[in-house]
Amino acid sequence: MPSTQLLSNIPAHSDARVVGFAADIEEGLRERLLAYGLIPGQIVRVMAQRPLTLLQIDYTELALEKELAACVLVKKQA
Amino acid sequence: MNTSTTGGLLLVGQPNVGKSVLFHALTGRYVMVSNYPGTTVEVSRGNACSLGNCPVLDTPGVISLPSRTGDEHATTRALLSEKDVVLLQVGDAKNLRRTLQLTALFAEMGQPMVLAVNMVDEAEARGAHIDTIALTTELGLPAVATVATQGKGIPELEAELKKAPVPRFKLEYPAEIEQALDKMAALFPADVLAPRALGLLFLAGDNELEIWLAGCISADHLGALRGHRDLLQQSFTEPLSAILQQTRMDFADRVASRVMRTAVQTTSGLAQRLGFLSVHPFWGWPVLFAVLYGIYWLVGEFGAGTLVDLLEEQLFGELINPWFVGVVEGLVPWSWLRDLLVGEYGLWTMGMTYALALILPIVTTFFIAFSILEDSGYFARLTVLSNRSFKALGLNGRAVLPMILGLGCVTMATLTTRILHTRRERLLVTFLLALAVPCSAQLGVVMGILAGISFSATLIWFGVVLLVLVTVGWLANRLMPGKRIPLMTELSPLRLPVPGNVLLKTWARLKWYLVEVIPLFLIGAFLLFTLDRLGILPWLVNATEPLVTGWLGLPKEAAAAFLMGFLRRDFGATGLFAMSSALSAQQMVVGLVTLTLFMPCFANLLMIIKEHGLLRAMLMLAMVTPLAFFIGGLLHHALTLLGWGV
Repeated sequence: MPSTQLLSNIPAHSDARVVGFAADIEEGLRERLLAYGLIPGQIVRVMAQRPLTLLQIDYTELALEKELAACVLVKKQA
Repeated sequence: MNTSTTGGLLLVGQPNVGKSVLFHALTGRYVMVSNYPGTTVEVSRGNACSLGNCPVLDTPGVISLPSRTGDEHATTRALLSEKDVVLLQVGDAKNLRRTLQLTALFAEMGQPMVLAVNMVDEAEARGAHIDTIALTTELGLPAVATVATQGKGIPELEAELKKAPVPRFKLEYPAEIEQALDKMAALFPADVLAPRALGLLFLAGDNELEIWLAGCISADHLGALRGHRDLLQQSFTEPLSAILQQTRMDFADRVASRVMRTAVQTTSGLAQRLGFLSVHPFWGWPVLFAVLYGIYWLVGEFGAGTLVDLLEEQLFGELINPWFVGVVEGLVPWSWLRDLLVGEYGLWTMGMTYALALILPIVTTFFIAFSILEDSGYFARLTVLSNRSFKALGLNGRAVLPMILGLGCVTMATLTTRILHTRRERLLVTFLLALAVPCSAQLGVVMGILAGISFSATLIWFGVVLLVLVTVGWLANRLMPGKRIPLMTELSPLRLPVPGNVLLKTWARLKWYLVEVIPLFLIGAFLLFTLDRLGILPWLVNATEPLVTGWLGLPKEAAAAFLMGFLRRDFGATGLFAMSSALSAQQMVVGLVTLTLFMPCFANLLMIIKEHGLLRAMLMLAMVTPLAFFIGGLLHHALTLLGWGV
């Protein structure tokens, strides 16, 4: 069973499953992350970590800054 | 339903899903359409001929409800204030689940509703197929597959809109929430949206809704509503908005898994690879420079070089103007009127010749380049690349959109700052726009002139303006209280622009130029003529000589160009162009830098006053204009020291 990590630490070109959010996350931010599709259970593909965290969720691409990606807890998919 | 008895059609949905394209397809009225989120920041209206001339309203996209930014608030207000409308939700087929989360909210508003599942072609290309018949059954409201840019599915959509029913849709929320909704229902005004939908928005904490409620229900009722909400919150550890959203997400997941078939995508296309390169920390920069050079070539070399030569020197200079001057001199007996029409500052010889022969070809090529870039989706990618640079200015990459739009029209860009999240960001961007972002007309003229000098002249101009932008932005960020918002944005896919839309958009912008800019130009020429006649202009030229000649090192006649610059910066630049034979390369660069930083045009000033108030607008003005002259003078002295372009 892979351990829970921060989305910002997942290397590029790998998949991860969203499991939750950092305990101290601001409510507004969580709402926005959810609205953009970062929903617990969702599998996202990390395309790059530089200059920003680039994700592919289903068929759309999302860009977010490191400090935001660090608020998302994920498990790396094999 | 029957469209003739309703208040019209309201287009709603997430950003960049194609609402404005559908609006155009339904009404024939063109509104700006681009491939990035945030093109529409205000509600636009039109009429749909094929639907019994019913009014159609296009709204800014909402990422989710409750609304969080200024443009999203406009959508909430439209939902609350437009009575008896039919809702047309537009959704991105590539992201059905997100679409459905909003559907779950819209479908309970008690209005007839149709869902357009747009961009099915792009979804299919990525291996996703959506069964709209099954979706219609699942939702209890008509769902139509469309490709709005190609007109696919529009007749079917219109047919559904004509008979759209109020959806029999009800999503079951947790029992405590359902009970609270029932208790709250009676407290809402009954004549707008269904009380249940208002309740859901209210529980999620929609500020715009509360402001609106404060104006139409009693304070007691509003207090009672808040009481219900606070009490309900106590039954949950998580915020209510999170629980509501979770319920809708579970629903969206369930429905999407039933109606969507996905195939594994084998290879990524050229567009996807190019899109990836354009945000790559290393390759992104060569891509950016290639794009910039492309614009420079099209606008600077072709537009300002080839086309202006053809129009100004050959068509106007050798054919039209000599003929027109001849006609006027033959027919008009009064010398003052002859001067007014064809003299040095004449309406025709200066006003119309500048506007049609100099600026028109330059802005046309610029508008074409700009529209192609907008529709390609490149601008959204630039947000990522530029985010680090904007960080130093206390902004995030989202601010790049108004900044780039400013290269089209600074006034429109000032309006677009509504997509930013905080007032602080809006003020910072508005200020930087007013100071250092040249609009298309000005940029065109400036690039045209600089291309005629040398590439290094272009680089100096660009470098100085950029340096000022960064330094002032950095300082403003230090001085202004508040914190920066980190970037999170969806990247629209790169697409091959549709030539029809590029042309339409270029034409829409040209029309703006012809209708709004040229009359101003004539007023400017008339003012200069009057001032010259009254002896004020020569006096002003002499009075400002210490500044213009002493500090900036320009011939004193350049004062007239700065005077024109008060009206619009590009007129000022054109004024310099007209004296180009009398100016050295250095003088031209100094003059152009000063004019670029010079005060915002009159229309933008009005917009700043409208958005931020008179006091802030005047403060900005008081900072911008002296700064422009200060930098111009510094540049003059620095270039003289270096011995450049003397």
